[in-house]
Amino acid sequence: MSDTEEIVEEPKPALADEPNDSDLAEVEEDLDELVKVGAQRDEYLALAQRTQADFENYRKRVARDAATAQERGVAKLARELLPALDNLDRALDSADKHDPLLEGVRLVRAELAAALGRVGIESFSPVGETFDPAEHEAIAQQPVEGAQSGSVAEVYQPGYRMNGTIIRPARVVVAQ
Amino acid sequence: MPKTIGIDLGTTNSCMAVLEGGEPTVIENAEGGRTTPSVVAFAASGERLVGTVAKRQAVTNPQNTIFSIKRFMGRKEAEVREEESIVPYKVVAGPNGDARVEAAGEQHSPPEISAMILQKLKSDAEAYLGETVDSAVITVPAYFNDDQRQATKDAGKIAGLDVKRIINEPTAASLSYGLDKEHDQTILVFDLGGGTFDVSVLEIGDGVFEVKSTAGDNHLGGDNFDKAIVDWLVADFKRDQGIDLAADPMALQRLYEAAEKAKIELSTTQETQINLPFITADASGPKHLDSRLTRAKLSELTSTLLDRVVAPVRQALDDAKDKGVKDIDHVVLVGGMTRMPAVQEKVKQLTGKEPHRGVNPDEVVAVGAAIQAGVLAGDVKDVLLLDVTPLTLGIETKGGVMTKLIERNTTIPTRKSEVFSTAEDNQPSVEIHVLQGEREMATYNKSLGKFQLTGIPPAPRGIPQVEVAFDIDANGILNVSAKDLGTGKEQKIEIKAGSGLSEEEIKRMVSDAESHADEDRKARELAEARNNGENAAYQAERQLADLGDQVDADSKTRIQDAIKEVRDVLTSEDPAEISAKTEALQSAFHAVSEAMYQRAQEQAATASSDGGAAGDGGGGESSEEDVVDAEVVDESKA
Repeated sequence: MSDTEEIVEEPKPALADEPNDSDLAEVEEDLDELVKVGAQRDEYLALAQRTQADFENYRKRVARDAATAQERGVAKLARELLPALDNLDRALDSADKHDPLLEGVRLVRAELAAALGRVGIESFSPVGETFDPAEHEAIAQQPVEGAQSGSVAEVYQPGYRMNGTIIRPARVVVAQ
Repeated sequence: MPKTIGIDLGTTNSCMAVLEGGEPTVIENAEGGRTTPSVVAFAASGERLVGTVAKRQAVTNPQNTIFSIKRFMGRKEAEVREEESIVPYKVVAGPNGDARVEAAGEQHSPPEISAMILQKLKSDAEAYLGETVDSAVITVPAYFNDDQRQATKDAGKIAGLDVKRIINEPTAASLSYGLDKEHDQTILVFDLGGGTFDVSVLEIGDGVFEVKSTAGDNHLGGDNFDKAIVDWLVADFKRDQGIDLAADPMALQRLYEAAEKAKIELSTTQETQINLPFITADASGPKHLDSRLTRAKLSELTSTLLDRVVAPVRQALDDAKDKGVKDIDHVVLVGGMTRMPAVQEKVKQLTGKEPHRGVNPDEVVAVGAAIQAGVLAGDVKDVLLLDVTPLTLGIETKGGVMTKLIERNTTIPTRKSEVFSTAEDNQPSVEIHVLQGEREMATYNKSLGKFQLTGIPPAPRGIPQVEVAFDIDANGILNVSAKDLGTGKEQKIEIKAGSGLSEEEIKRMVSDAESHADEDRKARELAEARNNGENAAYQAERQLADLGDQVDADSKTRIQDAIKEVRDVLTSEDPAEISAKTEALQSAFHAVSEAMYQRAQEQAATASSDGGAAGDGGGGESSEEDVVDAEVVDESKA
């Protein structure tokens, strides 16, 4: 502080006999300092609050993410396995209906579907329903006799949902 | 506090990210995707669809499904006739000649369509973050002119976003690799996305990026590569089976999916199998597609596409050279296609530089935009740039081992404490020797200071509990305290930041640890084997004394012999030898305690407590878990 005082006094030697001025300068300087420190405090407080808020939100989201992480892992695995299930369906569809081997394969397919069902995954095949891009993916659109325009005329590949959310849309042909 | 996010508004896909606690995070959309298709559709019901949902209904509603709107941003209708002929929706001239899209019986300006995409991103981001998003940094290609930039800015405004800044995509990609901190460097950004290819040469000086040249191909991207694979599969199948799969939309869909999967898989493997059972059927029955695709074959199939990147890269390099650019210092890859090894090889060949890696090329632009957003929002301030400890901090424990408390690269301020115990019976004091470094053994690390905690009441080894706490404040000042939890006595030491280590010294210490990792591990194993052996011998001896007559003379001799054998072998340099003797002692003791336990049961006495105690004493593993984490060196040995 003494250094600063000298600097203030030096350029005004003529006024040295008026102590009021130097006092005033000192007070002004203190005030400036105070304002500066105050502003700095506000800045740091805002920063701390922002960081705290960021962290709180982050924590909430992490907790939420952790809760859905398992479900996502299951959905991811299911998505990888679904093409094999589709192909099993295709195999069953094109096979001779009275083969006892076929009956066995059908049971295997049912077993797989039941396993998926136990973790909350179920298939849906929306034939005749109104086309809804939230749940269906249109592969083609063609005129179909007797079908209402905009409805699902054929399901190429069933869709799958897990506890209400779509993990794979049904692939469909939409009637024109 | 409202957030500013970074948005990569792409031709095919868009991506968004936000800076949180100084770290960029990609924001997932409502469907859980990290990128969102840049598609808007007007459904017959009057509903407006954006993203994946819009894409799914495209074939039923081609005239009203708008994709690639970026190609029309800020353009006059007369300039984009070629693009118009490609898209299935209608493009018309607006009142001032601007290109407009006509859908659902109305004219929409490209900024309006882009705004619909931005609006979805904004609301999905708000749902994800749980906070209002009121502003954004949006990226555009480096070659965008003022009109195109203004159109992008307008799109943001329409979507209710305060566009803090429009930045170039290559600049954003460079930012995500922290290249803004370099001085006077040149960067080549190679961006091969879903449908467009851009190459830019940038120069940085004092954190300011200047675009020196740009070139590209407006219709080259991942989609072309997928199609090349599909065409090959279709031709093969036609040759073998005589059936044209291209005529069957479902088969084609499965082929495209399989092609994309194969392409991705071949980024890491040399070959992949493409299996599509029951792809079609004819009178003779079902037909299956089963093909093998090698990385070499993929390169061959896509060689003409790969060749198309050469001319633009050369042109960009030449143009930059004309503007005084000498050499390229950095190469940054953007876009999913740059994962393909053949593409990376091509880039390396053309630039002679190894590209930067680490940030997901699909997300790198959005991440850079988020970093810029963070800078503008004031998130990235000097005071907020938290430091990390450059080296691991810990204390010396029994056998000259360094026990780590704070790992290197831990963000400070931080605090960590652990409870230790004594190594000898009736040890009156412990010495806390504070160490810094990555080596396993104390002697090879840097000593930061030592202090004693005295006045520990007499107690068997392993019983006193001394809590050692490391606390580093934001200025890097380390406070180490040791507290006897029994008496409450405490001692501490303050170690000033820096401790005189230069950048080179830190680097040397880290690399030393890496090069000595093997011998250090051996030294530590030896020290641990000795500690375990010594401890087991001590415990066995004590248990034996406690049990007295309960142990028969024969067993007693056997155990005493085993104890002696352990102690004799402690000076050995072979940890396996020490461990073998230790185990022999432990199993000898187990046999005794088992026999005792049985006897006790036979006597139908309350045997459990006795047997339990004996088992505890004999088991070196359990005593390690139950009693102490490690033991502080005895002062007399230091």
